Amino acid sequence: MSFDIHWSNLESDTRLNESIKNHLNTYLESISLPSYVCNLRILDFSLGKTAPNITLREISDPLDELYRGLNEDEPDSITPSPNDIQFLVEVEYKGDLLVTLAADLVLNYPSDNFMTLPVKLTISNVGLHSLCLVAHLSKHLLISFLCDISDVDLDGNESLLDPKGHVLSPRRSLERISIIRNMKIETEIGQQHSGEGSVLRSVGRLEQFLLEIFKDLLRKEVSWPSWIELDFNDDNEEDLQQSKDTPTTANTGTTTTN
Amino acid sequence: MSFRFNSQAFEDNSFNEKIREKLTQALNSSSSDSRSPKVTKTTMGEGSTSKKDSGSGGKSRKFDILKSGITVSKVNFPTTPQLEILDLDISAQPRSLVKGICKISCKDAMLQIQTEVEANLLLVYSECSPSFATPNMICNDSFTIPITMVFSEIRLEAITNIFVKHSGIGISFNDVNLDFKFDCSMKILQSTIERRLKNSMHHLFKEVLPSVIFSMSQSLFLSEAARNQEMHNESRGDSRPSPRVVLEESDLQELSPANMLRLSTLISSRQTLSLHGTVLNVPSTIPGCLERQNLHRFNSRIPSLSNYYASYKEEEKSRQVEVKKSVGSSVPLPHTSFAANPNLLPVRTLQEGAYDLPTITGIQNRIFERSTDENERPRRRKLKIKMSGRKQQPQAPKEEEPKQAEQQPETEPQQQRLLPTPEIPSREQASTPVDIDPTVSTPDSPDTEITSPKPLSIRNPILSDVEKMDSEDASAKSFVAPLKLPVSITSKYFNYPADHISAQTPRRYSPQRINWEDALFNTSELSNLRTSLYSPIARGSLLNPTKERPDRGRILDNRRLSFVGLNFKGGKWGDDDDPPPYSG
Repeated sequence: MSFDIHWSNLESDTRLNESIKNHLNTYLESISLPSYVCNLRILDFSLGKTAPNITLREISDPLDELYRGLNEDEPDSITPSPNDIQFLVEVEYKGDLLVTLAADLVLNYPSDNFMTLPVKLTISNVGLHSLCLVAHLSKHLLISFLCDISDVDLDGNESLLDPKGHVLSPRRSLERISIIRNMKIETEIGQQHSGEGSVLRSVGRLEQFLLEIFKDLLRKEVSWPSWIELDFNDDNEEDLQQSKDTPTTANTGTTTTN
Repeated sequence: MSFRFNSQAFEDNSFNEKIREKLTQALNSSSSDSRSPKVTKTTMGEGSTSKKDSGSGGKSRKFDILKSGITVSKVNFPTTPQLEILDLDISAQPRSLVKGICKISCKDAMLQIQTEVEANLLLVYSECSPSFATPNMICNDSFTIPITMVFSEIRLEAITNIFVKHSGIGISFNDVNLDFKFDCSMKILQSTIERRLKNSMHHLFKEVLPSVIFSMSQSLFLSEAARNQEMHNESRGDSRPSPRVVLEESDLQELSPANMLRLSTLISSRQTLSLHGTVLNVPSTIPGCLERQNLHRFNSRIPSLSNYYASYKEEEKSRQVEVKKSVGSSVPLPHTSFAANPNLLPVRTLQEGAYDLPTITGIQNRIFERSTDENERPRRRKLKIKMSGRKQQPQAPKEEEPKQAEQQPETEPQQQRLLPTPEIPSREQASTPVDIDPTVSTPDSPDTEITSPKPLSIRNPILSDVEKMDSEDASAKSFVAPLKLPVSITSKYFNYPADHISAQTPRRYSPQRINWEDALFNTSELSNLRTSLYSPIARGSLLNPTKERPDRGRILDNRRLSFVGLNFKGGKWGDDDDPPPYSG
């Protein structure tokens, strides 16, 4: 572990979870949802007590592919400069992050908002252990997950004889990466109304379905050869200069030792 | 009640009105539709007449005793119905998406229907009888009777199966419990109609309601269906004849006799369990076909991280063996040896620094190319980060959150853990010497070969618009400072010559088709592989499949191997069906 993360500082800040939750909720309110979903909100959010493990493995020149990728759609080509740098980072998280999401599925027939079905998802037990590439080249920051790293805690807890499991399922091609190796989704469908009716809990197929969708999304968006690019090119050069002068305050009170 | 109904709709009578309109529409549309006259009339309790109708054979005009349309004059749901979800199943198959079991119950509902009936049956009959029929009856006078039927105190309880498919909503009623009071304005007819109604209820729930609901739901899916139809029409515009399915004699002549012979040998060996004669004619001699029992051998040669660094995987293997032992059954578990072989970098390679970055990216690139469509490019989203002054800096950790949610709109927030990493490398940390194994970053020559051409990325213009909007949003809130390193370190730690960037190469599977079969089967290494793959029994290696492990580099040297059995779309045969085991 290259980085000491004082996670306890986060824990002691009682308002942090609350404020993160509020921020997320404000954001969720601002996005436009399809007509059959409404009232998407976060009911509960907790960062948990376990810190992620971040290990710096290598510092080197950025890969040629990064330049090639950037130059494909840039009119002004980016040439390698001695300031460019690339970090190979091992990220490990097996913590107790907990998020509870809720939303209403809406049937707009025969009239608008005629029938709603409340759905609640509780996400916990997130596990990931991956190799991540972080490259900085001429005001572009590229982040990409390279591959998963074998981990005794995360692998092989799948039942061998589960017919729906990974092992026996047919026609499954080799997946490049899954990033989120472990994630527990608990579903709760329906709502009791004045003590009547039943609530459907832990719908296994639904949980599996959601997890697959989520993994697919991550695989598509942030795993090599895809990446996320943060572009720091700014019209306002003054601002840029200023922020360069001040040392980066690392997120969440991280101090860096080695 | 797991579903919540909008009680407003029930209080202000809007629901009743809507339902009344819809019902009127549905009843009249199907009564004018000559193909299903039975449906309407059975619902109306006039099933017997409609049966007569079909028998009378009036071709010129429909035999219809209804003088006017059917009007639903009153509908009342005083209490909210209840819909409870009992079970839910989701399958990602294209045909059916969601399957649910629901319980429906409603109480005290009321329904009033009005129509007019022609009581002069002679008139009706003569109107639809052919003109040459004699004698001519004098039956000019029409005798119209208005009928009002009231169904009250309707109490319904039913268990339903609901299927939501691409094309609409299918519903079936399983356990129907229905009770109502019936009141007819024609007292004479009341008992008759009531009896007939009760008899036709079964039909109503088995056929009428499902079909009505399905057609109603289609209006919801209509836009999508219309689009599909359009696409269908377009594809028809190519005027390509559809493939023939029926095998006629002429077809049989076109089939390769050799393949037929192989197939028949295979079938006979399956039936007799005899392996004689199959040595040359097993499916293995059919190009691209692989027997399942040999799959693990094939998998062990696929370029994946687990295979490439297989020698570092010992502990995990032994652990797996332990698991197998602890299962303790005499039943062999061949699945474990090959099926659960995910693409993982063994942790020991990291600890010992034995990994090689270009190799990893090369392998990942190739898996990407193989698992995705030829035209699919890697997504490389771009987020503009605006620097927003010093004021925001103290709040940076908190302000971070909305930005990340922005990037992955529908994902759960545990991703937050992923993205803060770019901020970690700060100046002090970078200037501290890092222990790097010099061999690590020097690419050795065989490995450079696998740094396969990188897929081009094409940004979707629509997407990038959205991104722009998103990033503008984000810019207000987020702040990420750029990395800036002292120039002096860089020369010390960078081993690569930084001045060459090779020109972009197109993706390997270029439009011109390679005659890969020929290329494949003439190479000696491949035929070696094939013999080892397809005749495991002869070599006795079936018994300990884990023993063989490819040495590093060999997998990647045999680049052409990846064509065998993969969904290489340029192949001559099997346009649609991907050969096992790899699908797109």
